Amino acid sequence: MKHSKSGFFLIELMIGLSVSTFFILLITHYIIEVKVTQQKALKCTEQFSLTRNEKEKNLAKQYKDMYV
Amino acid sequence: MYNKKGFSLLSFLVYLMLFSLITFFVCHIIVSLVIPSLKSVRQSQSIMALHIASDLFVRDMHAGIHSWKLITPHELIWQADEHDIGWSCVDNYVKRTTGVYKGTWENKTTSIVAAGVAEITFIPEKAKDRIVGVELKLVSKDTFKKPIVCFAAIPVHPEPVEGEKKP
Repeated sequence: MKHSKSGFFLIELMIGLSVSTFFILLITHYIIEVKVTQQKALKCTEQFSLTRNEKEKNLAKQYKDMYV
Repeated sequence: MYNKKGFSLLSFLVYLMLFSLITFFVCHIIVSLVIPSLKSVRQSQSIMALHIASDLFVRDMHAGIHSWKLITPHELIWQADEHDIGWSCVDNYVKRTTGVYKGTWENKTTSIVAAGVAEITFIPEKAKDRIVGVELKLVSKDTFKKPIVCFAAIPVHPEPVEGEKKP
């Protein structure tokens, strides 16, 4: 990049700012992506947990019937 | 565009405006997107850790229970195949203790199963004095309104502990 002898050109400043903005947006995108992925994983885990609870309750009901 | 001995007022205003815009934009992104996202990620991790703890509890329940040693709403101790196992919550940590329990723990090994837990509750489900299942309720410090409830059926039903027997 061609610099002026004692400072930056406006176009250089603009490019610098654009690159910074791009990186900020990129980082934000990844943080949000991580959040979304984690929420999906949590939803799957919760579904699995609910299903397991139902299964366990059915098993407990069978055991209960053994004593009643 | 560049003055040899400083900025022109116009350049200065343009730079100031750009700087202000970029700063505002960055602050806006951080406040509206990044901080809530990081908070949400932390909460999700906390809930996930509780689910992992509940998985371990179900596995312990299925592993075989020879006799119950202590049944309280906040602590559960039983005799397993090789040693006694106890679950409790101390200082916001869910602890799983193994060893020999005779009123107090002897030769115990304690593992931290989950952190950041505000409350743990065990609700035994009974059929004629026999415990056929235990419901575990874990309340996270971060998500008070959404407790993790897990139910574990017990395949082998030992005699109830003395304190639990009905007169």
